[in-house]
Amino acid sequence: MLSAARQNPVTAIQSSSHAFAALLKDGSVTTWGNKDYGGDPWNSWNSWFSMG
Amino acid sequence: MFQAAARNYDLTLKIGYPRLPIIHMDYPQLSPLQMEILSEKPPCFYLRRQEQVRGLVQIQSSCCAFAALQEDGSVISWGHPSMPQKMAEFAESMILFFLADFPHLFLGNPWKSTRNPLENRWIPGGLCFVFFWGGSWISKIQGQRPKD
Repeated sequence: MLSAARQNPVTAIQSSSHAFAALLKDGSVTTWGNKDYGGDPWNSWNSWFSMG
Repeated sequence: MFQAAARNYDLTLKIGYPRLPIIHMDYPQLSPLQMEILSEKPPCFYLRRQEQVRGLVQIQSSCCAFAALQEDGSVISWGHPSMPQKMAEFAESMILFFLADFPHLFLGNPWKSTRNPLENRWIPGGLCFVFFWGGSWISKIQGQRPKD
């Protein structure tokens, strides 16, 4: 999702202890990282490789 | 503080991981505080080719990864293999993890040893290796000696 930066660029990013969130220009938010910490596993590889 | 941190990185990469290919630590655009944050991470979490960050706008760190917002509105992330977002970032993180951080799980973090040599577990690890290798070598030599 973040690769489509030209159409909907990221304006800010924020981290939690095990995940990241990005605020996009259209006001939407996408996350990635550990799902237990707010990350969306479908936006990362965390769904099959977890830190535990 | 910035210069001291930079020297630590150089020393680390030369002493701890002399054979890491084409990976270097050079973030002139980062503030000293950000450099200090980076310095507290294991090696695979901060190593990154400088040219891969295009116009740093903002950087965020989690426990084990980084995300950088670039001037074109795109984001790159790197660090522990569980954290990067894109497939290429994941692949690179896995390579770095095994190259730079996997030994650290068993032998300690050589990078930290530049600050406190007592924390360097490569030294006792190396001594143990020499001890057992030497012991097996001596046993082998003694086994080859003609019996009286």
